[in-house]
Amino acid sequence: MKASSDVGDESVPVRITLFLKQTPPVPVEAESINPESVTAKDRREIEDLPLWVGNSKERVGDYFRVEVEETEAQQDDDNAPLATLHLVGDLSRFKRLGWGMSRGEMLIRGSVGPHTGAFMRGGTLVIQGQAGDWLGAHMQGGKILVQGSAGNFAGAAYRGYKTGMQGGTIIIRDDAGQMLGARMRRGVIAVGGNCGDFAGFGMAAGTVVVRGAPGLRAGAQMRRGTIILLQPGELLPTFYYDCTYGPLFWRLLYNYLQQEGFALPPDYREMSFKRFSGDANEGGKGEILVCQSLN
Amino acid sequence: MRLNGVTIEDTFAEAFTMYGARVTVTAVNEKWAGHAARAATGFATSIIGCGVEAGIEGPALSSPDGRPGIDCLFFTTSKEDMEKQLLNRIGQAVMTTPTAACYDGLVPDYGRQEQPAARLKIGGKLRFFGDGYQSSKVIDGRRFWRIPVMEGEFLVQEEFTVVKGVGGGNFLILAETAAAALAAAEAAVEAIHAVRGVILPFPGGVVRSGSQVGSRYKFLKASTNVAFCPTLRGIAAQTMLPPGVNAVLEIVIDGLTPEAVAEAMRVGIRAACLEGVRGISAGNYGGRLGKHLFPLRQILQ
Repeated sequence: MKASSDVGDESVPVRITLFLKQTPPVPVEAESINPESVTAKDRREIEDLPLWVGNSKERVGDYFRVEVEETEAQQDDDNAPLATLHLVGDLSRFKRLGWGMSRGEMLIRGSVGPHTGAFMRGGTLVIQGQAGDWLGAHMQGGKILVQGSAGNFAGAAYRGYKTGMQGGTIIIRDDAGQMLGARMRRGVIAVGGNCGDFAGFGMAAGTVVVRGAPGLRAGAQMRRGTIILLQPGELLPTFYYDCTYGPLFWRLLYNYLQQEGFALPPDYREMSFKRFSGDANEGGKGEILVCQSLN
Repeated sequence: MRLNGVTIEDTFAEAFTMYGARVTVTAVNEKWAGHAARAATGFATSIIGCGVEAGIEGPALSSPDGRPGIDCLFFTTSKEDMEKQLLNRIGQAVMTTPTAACYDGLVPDYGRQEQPAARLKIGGKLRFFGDGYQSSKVIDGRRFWRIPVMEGEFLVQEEFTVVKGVGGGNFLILAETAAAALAAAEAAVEAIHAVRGVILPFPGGVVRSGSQVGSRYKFLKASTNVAFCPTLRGIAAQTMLPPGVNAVLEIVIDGLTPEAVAEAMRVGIRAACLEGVRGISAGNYGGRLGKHLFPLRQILQ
């Protein structure tokens, strides 16, 4: 690996690291920061990328020290070298990081603000800290891994939209806030800790897994989809008990979650669930699976 | 060429391109996975009369749900036939078996070929059995259908991969007695079972009624292999039986790749060269019809 300040050749795989120099006084619109926008740019071009700080248009270089390093060849699915982007620092005031990213890898060593990974279509986004609200909102593909907690509305739909997350995977190691996966239509969200109220609100499809304690009214207004509660919680009266059984797809999902870094004890794979159908107010084709026993 | 005192005739097996699919059947234990696999691959000896050639390949290379599994191979002459056969056989044999589930088995070791010949929507059509209560899950990029059944749920993958394979690899065991031919055939089958990517579609892996193309009867596409029938040695227009041969058995091999078929023939022929076997031959059509030729002496070297 060699350090370079002027790597502009697209054929050379690089790792670009942005070190936070100063915390902005107000929230920053940072959708310009993702692996695709920094690929094939030299240090100066990256520093010139725009950032809206409040109502003032500023530069990435005003807040970050940029390092560009050549690395071992690392190619994504499209076989075109793409920069690996690292961000270091407390980015709680930076909104829309990784917004709409479609490929590549982004690692954030610190906490991030709201809308991180929203509209993401592919690639991997790892957050080694806390995530703000609207994490992965309207996400369509790729993977978000939060090694901490996430705020409200992870994987949810923005106000006025019928459909939230439509694909991909969000894994939150600790807790999640309210309205987790609200109106999601596809994809998987797994929460290692507790989650807030209204998890899976208005779900049309997809899967939400909560390992810790669920909040109130999980699955309210869900039409289809699956909420898996690994700890029992109070369910709405519009969910009807069907049976106790071991759905096979859980074994596949268990394997997938393990592979993606969501820690579950080995005996959880053999688990039985109580199945509840609901929300009866919306046709009742959704389901909540509540962990029943470890066989 | 002689192997263990057995003459290896200077001839070749002629095989054809067929479409192949691997179906992985899992169940709560090997017993029920076996029930499902045997039912799904039943009555699938010859494309001529069954519409498909199928068999059990062996224990599953990869069991997506972690339960005991069995890999089955299916071969047809067209993609349309494959879809029809898989729909019928998975729907009637696997879905009906308690605890069974069904996955596309070609996924784990696929990638050797550039593109699959097709991806057939099998679970995607069987789902309608759920009468509107079916649901799907996309896990790791693959869609699985959950069909409610009286026991719980039948889980089946939406798409099954179809590749171009090889059908009709074969060799003939020419023996002094029927008992010697059977012993040699059983030894060959036992040896071939260790080879992955192939099946022996006939009962016990052995055929006694090998066929020739055509018949004196217009309504029949194939008829008994006159040249290898010991009872016709004296009256047939042409016999291929060396002196002293009183029984012939055939081993037919279908495989996902020509290499797998050749390997199966190699180990099978070697195992079949036992006492009482006079020669090993193979069925062909002069090399004019089949794309894949397997010269016996060459594959044994």
